[in-house]
Amino acid sequence: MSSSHARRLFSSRLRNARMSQGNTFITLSDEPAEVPEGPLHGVVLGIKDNFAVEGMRMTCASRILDSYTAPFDATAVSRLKSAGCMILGKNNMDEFACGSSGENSAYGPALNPLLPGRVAGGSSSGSAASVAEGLADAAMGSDTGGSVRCPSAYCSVIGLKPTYGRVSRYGLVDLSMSLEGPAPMAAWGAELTLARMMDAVSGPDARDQTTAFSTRTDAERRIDSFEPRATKVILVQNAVEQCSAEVAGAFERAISFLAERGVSIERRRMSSLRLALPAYYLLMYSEFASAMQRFDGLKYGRRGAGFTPAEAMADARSLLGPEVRRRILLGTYVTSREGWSTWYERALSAREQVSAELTSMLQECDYIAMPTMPAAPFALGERASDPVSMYAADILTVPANLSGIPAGTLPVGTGTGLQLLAGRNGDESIIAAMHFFNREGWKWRRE
Amino acid sequence: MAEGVKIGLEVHIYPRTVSKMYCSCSSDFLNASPNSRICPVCSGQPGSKPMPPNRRCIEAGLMIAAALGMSAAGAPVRTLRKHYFYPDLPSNYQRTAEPMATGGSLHGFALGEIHWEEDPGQYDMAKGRVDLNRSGVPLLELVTEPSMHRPQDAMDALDDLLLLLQYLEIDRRELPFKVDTNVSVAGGERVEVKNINSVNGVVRALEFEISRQSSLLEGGGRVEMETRHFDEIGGRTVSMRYKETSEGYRYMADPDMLPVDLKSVSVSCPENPFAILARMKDGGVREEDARVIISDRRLLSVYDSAAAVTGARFASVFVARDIVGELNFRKLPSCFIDGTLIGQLLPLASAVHGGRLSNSNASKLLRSAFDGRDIAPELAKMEGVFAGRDAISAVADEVIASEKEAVARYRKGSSGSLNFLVGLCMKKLGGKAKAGEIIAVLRSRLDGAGDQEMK
Repeated sequence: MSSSHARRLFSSRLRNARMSQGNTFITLSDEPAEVPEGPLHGVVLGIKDNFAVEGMRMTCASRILDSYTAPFDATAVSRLKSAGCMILGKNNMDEFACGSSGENSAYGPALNPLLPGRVAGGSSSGSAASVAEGLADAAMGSDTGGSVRCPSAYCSVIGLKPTYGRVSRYGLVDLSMSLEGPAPMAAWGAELTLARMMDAVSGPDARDQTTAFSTRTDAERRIDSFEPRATKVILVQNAVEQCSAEVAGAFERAISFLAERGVSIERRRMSSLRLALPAYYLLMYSEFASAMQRFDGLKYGRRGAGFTPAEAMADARSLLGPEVRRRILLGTYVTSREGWSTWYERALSAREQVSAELTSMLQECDYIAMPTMPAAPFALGERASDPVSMYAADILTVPANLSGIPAGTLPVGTGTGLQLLAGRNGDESIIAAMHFFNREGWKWRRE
Repeated sequence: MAEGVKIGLEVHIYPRTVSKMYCSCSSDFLNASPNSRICPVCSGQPGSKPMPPNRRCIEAGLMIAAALGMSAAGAPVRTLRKHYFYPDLPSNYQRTAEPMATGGSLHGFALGEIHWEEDPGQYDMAKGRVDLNRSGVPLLELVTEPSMHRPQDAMDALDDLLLLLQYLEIDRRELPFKVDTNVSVAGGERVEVKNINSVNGVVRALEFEISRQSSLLEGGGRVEMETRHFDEIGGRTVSMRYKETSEGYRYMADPDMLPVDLKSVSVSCPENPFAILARMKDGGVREEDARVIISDRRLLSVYDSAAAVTGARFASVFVARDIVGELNFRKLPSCFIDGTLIGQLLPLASAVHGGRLSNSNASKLLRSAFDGRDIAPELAKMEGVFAGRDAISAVADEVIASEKEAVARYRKGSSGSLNFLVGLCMKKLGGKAKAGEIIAVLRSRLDGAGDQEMK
């Protein structure tokens, strides 16, 4: 693609994005001055609004950062830029990534282009929806407990939560630091773009200590490496049992597709699955409360706009949405003296159990399979007043975050996904499995 | 003095580093316009992450720990987040490490632990302004047990610490440390006095607090646990706030930091002053004289040269009393004693030590030497004959052959080593030689520089 062609493409996408009713972007970019050559030359990209892009507004979908401009590029962003990507804008999301539906945004929910009236999933709602709508070719989201896999499944795109520590988190605003990382998404059929995004952003970064011992992925070269007859998949039976009939049916169809091509399938129960949600939420609350400590109204917020420091401090928390405030309060409690041994330490130990069970299963197989989300996307507003039912939807995505292993999702129906988990640094093999489905003519839409 | 006084110190040492604790900004916050030495990390921008802890700071901590007999942590050291709200703390949590070493003692007082942490920025409450140049500057916090009982104890401990820092060459001279002190008297709670910037301030704050707390208790009142601020000018302490309990800080391991395995950090420690003190005392030197000498590294160098000629005890008296007396009388700093003067003083010391010179003559010659006169001719007259060039050469050859290390150091540019070699030659010659001649002979042997002059 010539550079002028790339710029014309970008302009037309920018026009479409301005006209779109989908509310998938909070801030749109200016036209790029030049587009660097590189493996991702000309790819139009959405960036979740919790990544710092130098000189662009970064709101995290929160009123407290409404006027904040990021002073630097996140490592993932600068690496994508130099690989040739063009950033279309900053995607809508749940406020500070707190949510599984996209509804917790100060800028209103991003809409699901496939299922009108249904949620787009969250927290990377606008990223998945803008890809599904065809505005962006791919997007960079973040996944803390399923924030990329959930909206990818709900919007029927592909998404990968990489191995923890393999992609630098520098410039990604904190939700829960020990669980999350940047996570790429792309349209169904664009596994090569996903592979190239991983190859571009992964590997050591001096600005994120958790990447110190990591390696860059080799996903593009290994995209055809899935060998069905040499592959064993363990299917988590008690995960399937928690799903709606629609989701379980679509999932089983995809499993049969693999089995027919020679993949060996074994059904197992995962006993620690029941621990995953409470462990995840307790740890996430705790780390989130620590990370959100800085938003005290003095450093960010409305100080100076006619507010005294005391007023600004008193006002600060009113700039945050109810789910964000709930999590800060719970996290503060969990890490207080009263909550520490009752909740925090037990959550750490539950995390160990989940992690150990997944690790031991992965020693016996190449992939663990389960549905991505237990049900198809619900209606906008349906669960807004019931946080517990909202949390329950994360049951199948949080185990991978608790153990730091990679997990990807690919569409098996409209708004439903198949989730594949692999061992640490198995990111490439998950992309290869997605590519295998595509190569073999997988049809996820009922025709 | 009040009964049952317990004093503990928390000393925050500024180690000499180029950059901050968790980013590459300059740590020199004193000489910069406000907020000119900041980056996304030390200003706590959303999305920023800390870099690995400053290596130089950890090395400095390990050097202090080794010199004070502390035991380094065996398990990898985690970094914790200490949460509290303050305008100068960009993230509203401070990164502070677990102890890197525990135990040990300072001036005989038991120590608790030492750890590294980051300094917050500076808040000007009156103007409502925050300067983040100091935010993220490395600190080492050395914590003592409440093992002291008098303000004088705290002063002795801090004096020793300053001395140690001077020898290790790891502190920032313009700003060595700031101190928080805990003090209680029998029957009362512990009171913390924060942010005292001098040894003198610590002593005054402690004296004030002990007297304040004692009077309170004698009057039937109670001493509550609280944090107070020291007013340097008024010499008094003022209540700041009641002390949060440690649980109030919600300490948790920082998920963005990898634990540091101290076994992977190797440090080479120069000889520390307490080891030198012990060595001098073993050689018969009185502690009082030894402390005068080790308090000043120039004096220590003169002492070492003299001790090679006359032995430890004699040299210590010569340096700590005669030479220091002369310096004090003339209001001169120790750096006045240069190589030439040392060359005059060593034969003088040797002559006195060898009994070839009376004390009154020695005093006269010492003054002459400090006046800048060449005392060699007069010394020769007073004590007899000097060794000839052949005798000096023979002795110089012997010394060069036996002192290979000092020779090597000299060739690397250490002028102190030459003094040391001159001292040894002088000793072998019984002090009956001119230092200048010994120097010329040694130089001609060691680097050939003297050859031209000899012809």
